[in-house]
Amino acid sequence: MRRVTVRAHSPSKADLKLDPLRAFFAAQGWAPYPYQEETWRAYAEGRSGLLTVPTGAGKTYAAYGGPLAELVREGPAPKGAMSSLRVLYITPLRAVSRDIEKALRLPVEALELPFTVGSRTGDTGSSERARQRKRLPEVLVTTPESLSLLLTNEHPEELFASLRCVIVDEWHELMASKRGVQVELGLARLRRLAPTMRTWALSATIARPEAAARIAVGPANEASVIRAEIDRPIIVESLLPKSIERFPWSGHLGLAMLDPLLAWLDPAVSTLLFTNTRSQAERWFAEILRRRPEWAERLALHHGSIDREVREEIEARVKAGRLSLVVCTSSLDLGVDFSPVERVVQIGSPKGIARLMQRAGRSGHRPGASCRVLCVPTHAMELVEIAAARTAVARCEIEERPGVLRPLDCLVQHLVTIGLGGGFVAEDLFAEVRTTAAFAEITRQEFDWCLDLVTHGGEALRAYQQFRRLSLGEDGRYTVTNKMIAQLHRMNVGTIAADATIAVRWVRGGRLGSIEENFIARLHPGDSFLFAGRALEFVRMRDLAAQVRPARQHTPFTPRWDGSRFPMSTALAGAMRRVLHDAAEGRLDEPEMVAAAPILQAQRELSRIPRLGEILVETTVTNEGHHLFLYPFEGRLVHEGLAVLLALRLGRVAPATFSLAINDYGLELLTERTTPYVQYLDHERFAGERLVDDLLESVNLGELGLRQFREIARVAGLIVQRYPGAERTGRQLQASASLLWQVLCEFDPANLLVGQARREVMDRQFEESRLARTLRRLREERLVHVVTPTPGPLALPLIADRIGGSHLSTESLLDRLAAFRVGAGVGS
Amino acid sequence: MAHTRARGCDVTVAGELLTLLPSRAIWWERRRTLIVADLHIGKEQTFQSFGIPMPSSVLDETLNRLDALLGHFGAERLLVVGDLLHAKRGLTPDVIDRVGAWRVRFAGQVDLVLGNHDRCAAMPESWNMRCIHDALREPPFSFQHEPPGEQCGSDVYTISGHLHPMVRLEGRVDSLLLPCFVIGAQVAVLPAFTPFARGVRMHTDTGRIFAVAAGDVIEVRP
Repeated sequence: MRRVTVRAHSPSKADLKLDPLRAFFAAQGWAPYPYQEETWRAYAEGRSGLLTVPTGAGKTYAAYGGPLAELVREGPAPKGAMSSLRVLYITPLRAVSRDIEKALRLPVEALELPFTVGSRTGDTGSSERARQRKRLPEVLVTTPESLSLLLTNEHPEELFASLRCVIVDEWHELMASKRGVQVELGLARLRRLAPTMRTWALSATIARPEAAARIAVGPANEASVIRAEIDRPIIVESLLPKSIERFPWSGHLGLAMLDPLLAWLDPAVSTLLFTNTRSQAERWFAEILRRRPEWAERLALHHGSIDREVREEIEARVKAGRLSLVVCTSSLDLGVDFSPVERVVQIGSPKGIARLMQRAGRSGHRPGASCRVLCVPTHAMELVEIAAARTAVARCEIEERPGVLRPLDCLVQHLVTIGLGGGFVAEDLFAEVRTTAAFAEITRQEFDWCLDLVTHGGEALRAYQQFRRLSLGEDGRYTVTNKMIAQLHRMNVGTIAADATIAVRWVRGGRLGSIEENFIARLHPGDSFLFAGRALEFVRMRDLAAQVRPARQHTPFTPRWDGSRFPMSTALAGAMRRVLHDAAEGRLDEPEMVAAAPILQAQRELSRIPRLGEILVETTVTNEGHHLFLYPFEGRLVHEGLAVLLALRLGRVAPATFSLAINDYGLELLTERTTPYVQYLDHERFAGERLVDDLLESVNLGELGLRQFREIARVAGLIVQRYPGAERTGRQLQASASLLWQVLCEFDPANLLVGQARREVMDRQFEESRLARTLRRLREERLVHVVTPTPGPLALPLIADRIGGSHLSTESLLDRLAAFRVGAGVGS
Repeated sequence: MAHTRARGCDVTVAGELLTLLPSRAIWWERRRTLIVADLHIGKEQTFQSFGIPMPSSVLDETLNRLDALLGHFGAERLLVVGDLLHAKRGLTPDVIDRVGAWRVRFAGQVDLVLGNHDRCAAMPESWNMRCIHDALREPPFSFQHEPPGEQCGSDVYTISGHLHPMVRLEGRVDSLLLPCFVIGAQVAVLPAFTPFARGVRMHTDTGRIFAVAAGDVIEVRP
């Protein structure tokens, strides 16, 4: 907020309603930004919409001002009125709800208004809850999960009838997720309970804000978009390696840059060091501590597997300026307002433009300051990525985040929520959910399938005769009548999929955090690993916890957390193709491109640097076999899908076993056969038809589907994470997602949730729609084939990755089993 | 999806010949007895009663698989080493009827060594089973649901269930988790007969491990 001297203000007629606000701002010594006034006016005119603010403070008061002024004008609800709630503020971050509550209370106290401001989150204590049961505060801060819980109140119309405004914070984060869908469904319900309610979504800079606004307010309603024009330039710099010849060509840890970064860091200056993976964060933290033990007091590690309490303590210490160096992951992309942070470091390519801008925005909160981010490349081609990222930031090319379409698991959960919250008539609720963007196109058939699932467990009536989550009353309303069901639902509402994690504890007691079950499953007693900044030795599994002690030897291996590596985004990939084109034309405008020049020169001499409109294919022969490299520059997920697809389709030309390797730039198919497969890279192989069928044929969906199903099962209430009271209930209901997946696939294959898991795999695992667009590029652009005498600079990292063990197999489960039999020995 | 094939793996345990079957059962030829453990009947119904939609056809598969095995071997007796039931809530009239109908189809004797889950309810009379508390001694074997913590004398070999043992086979790229038999020096553990159970991961230091996979029983060597 700008601090200015208060000047006299002559209010126009329309502004009269805003007098209390101006008084508050004046009393604080603030002058409102133009976008804040614009938002206040839009609200006063009865509009809903979206407010995008690049970074920094001010958006809370922009959205809150209008409803606050209205509240002042209308006065509090009469004593004894059940319905007192006027403003609901939804934040996805439980940790910041207290800060928001404080900010919302400030004007109420400053202006001595007769209103209460409160919060309702998972952390709200029981006495506060009891007070709220009698009467909700006028202004309430809550989370998507707690909103769903409020909606399970038996008389929601009494609770929400007086609601005037809902503010949804961090909408750019929420909208592309199932939590966002949960909010969409909740908003649709609230609009029905309080028809005059207005919705304001707050977001960072995003692509297509109009679309984001329509998702927030409902596609049928009119949405305003207000953009804050705040001039806060983002400056992307990089730490250049001294010698490119001795800089690694692949890898993602980036420790080659440790020395230069240590020299750059200053423990007196508050700095966030962002990494892309938890394992990378662990390694960097350990290395910095090893080399600068004297920094221990001011250094911390922060990522999603570290216990929440520890994380919150770190956040508080950063905020208070008592910690200056924090190695972190996307766990600190959002959340607590870290005013003391002056510098931001990005280790490795940010892989996405929105992410880079978000992270850069964590620095320089002082008025008028610019945001600076220092990128540290982990290998040579990342220099090109960083240069590309800078050009994309300058052009404000941000990734689009498509919404989640028709996630039936969310609907299943919502049906039970509304069944608890007073019940519903099927036709009405069907019409209501269709007012959300997520379910705008849901068919009555799909809706009825979900309703069937929660009333008698699916279409096969006999199959689930014990089952009743909802029952249909004689009045035509579906309600929850079973107390146990109600209790289970309230305890498990939400869409945040807890990974299958296991607590990490010292043998002597004391908890360190939690870690993915998959990782622990691969450890043997005596193995050591890095976790929460410590070298630990795995001792044993006991009582669902991994027991550890400090490691004796110092060659720990770092956990590889699932899915923690981001693929290069569409926006960054496009920018990278553009800067490579410039390099091919001899233009090296960015300092990173100059630093990378020797590598680019080697690529040019041995092969070619692809220009726009071209896709490079290289073939070469080594003693490993015949290599085919294809470089679409579309990110690793797309390349993964493309690699298995091409292996399948080329295998139809002439059967062969391919070894596959992929990275963000391209893919490799290696075979021992001499078949000139490159000649078959044509329209037929790149056809968009049968894409999904062919992928299904070539990938072992069992395991991938399972990973996705874990989340779906949790949201749809197939997996119960928390049980009421007696532990015995828990034991009777223990089932892992893998078990349910297996049982449903075998015994109920037509289950729509199984189908949804398959669809989500296609989308998340291979970015199916992006893959389809890539295939079109491959058909339309010019394929340039170069035969190289040896693998070139683009090819070598692929070979290194494949040898490193991250290659894909095209063998079937049974082939692999046969291999196991040979390897493991066969009984009689 | 019943496995009627006699494929399996013969092992000699305490001087007796046992056949480990891919249907997750043991055939004891000398006593013409089929040995199974951990059927967890009524588990789907228990889930259903808590509002979790699991298909009831799991029970049909379990009973059909039993029918096929008993018929294939011409078994005179079925010996269940505990946890025939899952929970009292799962003992619905329909479940009682379906298991009762199966019991009529099988003319032989059914012995049930009670497991921890079986103690939740009395066995329906129509199931016509002999219930044994603690352990059933049939030298050289002792059948008890939970594997003994301590060895109880070298002349007794215990056959148990309870753990639902699983083994992880690791490839270079990924891994498989499969149900298995564990044949130790003095204890053998059967895999769960139900397809709807997760288990405890075993290592080769507990005994010989025989994984069940793709209709076969394969010994896993360390």
